[in-house]
Amino acid sequence: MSGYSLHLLALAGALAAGAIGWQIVFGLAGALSLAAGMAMGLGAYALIILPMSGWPFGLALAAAALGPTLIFAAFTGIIRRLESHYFALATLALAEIAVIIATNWETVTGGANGLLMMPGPAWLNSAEARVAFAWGAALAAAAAFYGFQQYFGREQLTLLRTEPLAARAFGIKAGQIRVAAMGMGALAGGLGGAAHAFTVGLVSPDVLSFKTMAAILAVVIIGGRRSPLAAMILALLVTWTPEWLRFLEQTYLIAYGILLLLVVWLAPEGLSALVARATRPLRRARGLKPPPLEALGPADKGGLAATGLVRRFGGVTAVANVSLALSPGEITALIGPNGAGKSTLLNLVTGLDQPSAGDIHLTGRIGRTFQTAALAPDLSALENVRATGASAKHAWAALHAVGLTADAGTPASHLAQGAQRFLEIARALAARPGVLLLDESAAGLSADERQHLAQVLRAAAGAGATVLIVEHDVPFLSALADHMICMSEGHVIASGDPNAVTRDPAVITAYLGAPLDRGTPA
Amino acid sequence: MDALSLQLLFNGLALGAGYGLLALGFALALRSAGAINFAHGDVAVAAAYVAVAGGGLGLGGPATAGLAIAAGAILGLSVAGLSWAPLRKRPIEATFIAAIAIGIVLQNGLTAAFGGAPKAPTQIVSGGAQVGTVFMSWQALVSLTAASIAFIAVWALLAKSHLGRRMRAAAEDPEIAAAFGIPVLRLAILAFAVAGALAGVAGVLLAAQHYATPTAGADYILKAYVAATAAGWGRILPTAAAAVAIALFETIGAAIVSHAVAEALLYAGFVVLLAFRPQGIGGEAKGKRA
Repeated sequence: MSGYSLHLLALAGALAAGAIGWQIVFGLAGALSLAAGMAMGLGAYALIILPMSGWPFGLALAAAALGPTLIFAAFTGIIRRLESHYFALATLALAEIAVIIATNWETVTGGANGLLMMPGPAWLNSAEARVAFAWGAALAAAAAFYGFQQYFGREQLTLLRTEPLAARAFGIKAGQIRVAAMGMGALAGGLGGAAHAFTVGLVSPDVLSFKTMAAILAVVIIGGRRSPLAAMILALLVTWTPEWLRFLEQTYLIAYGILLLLVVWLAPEGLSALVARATRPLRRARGLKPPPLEALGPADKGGLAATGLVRRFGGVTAVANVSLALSPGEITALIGPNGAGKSTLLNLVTGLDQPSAGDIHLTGRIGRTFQTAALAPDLSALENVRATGASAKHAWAALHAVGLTADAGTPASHLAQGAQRFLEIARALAARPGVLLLDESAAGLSADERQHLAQVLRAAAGAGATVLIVEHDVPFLSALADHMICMSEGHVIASGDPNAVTRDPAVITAYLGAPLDRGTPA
Repeated sequence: MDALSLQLLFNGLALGAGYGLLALGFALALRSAGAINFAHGDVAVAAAYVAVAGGGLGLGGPATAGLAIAAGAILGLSVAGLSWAPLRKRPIEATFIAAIAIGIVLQNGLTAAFGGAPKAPTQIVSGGAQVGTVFMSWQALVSLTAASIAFIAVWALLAKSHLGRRMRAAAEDPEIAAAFGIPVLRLAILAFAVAGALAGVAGVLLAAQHYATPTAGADYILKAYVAATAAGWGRILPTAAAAVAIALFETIGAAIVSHAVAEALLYAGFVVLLAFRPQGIGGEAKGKRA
């Protein structure tokens, strides 16, 4: 290999490390950071500036990796709650600040011209050593990627990316995962940046700039968001393309942009996903080995009591002075016309929303389903259940309880609507909740499926769970529930034996007075 | 107030007119299509370069500005057609990345065609008037007038007109709006085109006063975004006030310390604002924070 080819090979390794760092942030944690170029730049500046102040090479390299880690983790700590474009633009602002500092703090950074590197240790002064350094950084980045995925769990991360609200309800700590992802990503990026600076022997604001971010975007979006191997291959291609297209000069970067657009349109998961899809049938044929079944009662007795709950949205009072007490082994039905405040009440009870006034006393773990099935479409049924942190045994037992073991390996998006409802219930059951909350789980179910749902809920209550079900289908509930509560316009208007509640004149007026109510959904 | 302060105030207002126009287009696309256009800054820069090219062909100031507005509208349409319309049912990051991809094409296309050095289009009007101690260039006065008209027009469109109400309904709940017979997609694409035209005006005005480089888009979009966020999403008139405040901060900061320090402080302040008051200074958040 010629010296120049070795030089390009080292540059590709550095880019691969930076790109894999961004895969951790965007591919695994789902956070669109636009500061991946900055992470590389920080590493590059650290490796060149610190030895000038007398730091040994090894220590400077450690700082090039750990410095960006700390800065990115601390920064993300401040902005961890921001979603989508807020997060993206906050990171872009951070990256712009870095460019401004690098360009203007001339005494330290050398300004727009940058700095030349002092000679490194003699044993590293060869093209081969630089290649080893850069690809070592890429491999370290890949190790960080798989370590991160292993630590936080592939299923949990998928749920966090695709259904953030459900992830929150299941106690997945989105903020912590983001802080960790940005820190890990910056570690990989810092190493890549150090390798880049070491290879070219100088650093300038160029490496911090959006140009680096654009190259990383090209590598990850085209190659695939969750494949370090694809990032390595694409980094090689991206590094060599300008050489092949040298006759195009500057314009080869335009080609990146066009290719990016085409991939976002046609292969949104990147080229590696196309390869994976071609090989997927083989993987599924291996099948799933069910672990021995285990009884699925609640982990501990649960109870729920709320007094004087109020929730206002601006001038609208969605929940007005609601009190309720639910006990273990009982099924309670919550009914009421549309807009009565039922879902708001569930959100308050589960902690997704804060009451304006009132107290909630909850004992035992809580499990809930959502009005719209909030499942990760690409994960299999078993993976969806396991995404909540349930053990394989409990996940399997939960699938068994709802009758879905035969579909354990089927992606959630391939399940029929009714089966998706049951999968949601299995997911709630797998956490062995003391309190089980169901939001319109019978909507869209056939008569047979409703019978099956009633059996599942009776079994859960029989095992000691406290069950609260929100539904429109009053006849179904009358046969199922031990206790019924009717809400209208935020107030509880009737409570007690289901047959008594359904004959209560106030309840009948509330329903008939609300002609928009869907009644029993078809 | 001394002479220097008054002059700074005027310069800041003129710069604020440019930022305000950028932020206005940004807010319009958000309010009437529910879209965040990550290529908005690059569209403004590209329109400014179209004006530069027009000047190179011997066109005068007003003609080149007209050319830039047309280019902005066409680019706005292209962004809608390439990055937003085909991807709007996908996870929202897909539209962001597609728009960023368009930005990469524009940045590098401009660098290839014009080089990386700063360029300025011909001024729409040259000269100016001395009012007391303050020199008011005609160009700056044109900027202020254009921005004022654009703000009042967009505000009236959204708040007062039937078309504006339909646009807002389409952005807030596209499915319900479509069920009521509102042509959601067409309205959104129209909003992108108008936003692009506004970016074109902003680009040509900003570049004439302060030069542009092919990569200035990131700074432009950040300033538009800072103004829109500080004002509270999609609130039109507070956005103008925020844009002027940003420009004054930048102008006065540049005079007292340096432009770099002022800009860095502005971005740092923006991050702090986002972290502690994402709904903006002015009011409730309109954007989704899933």
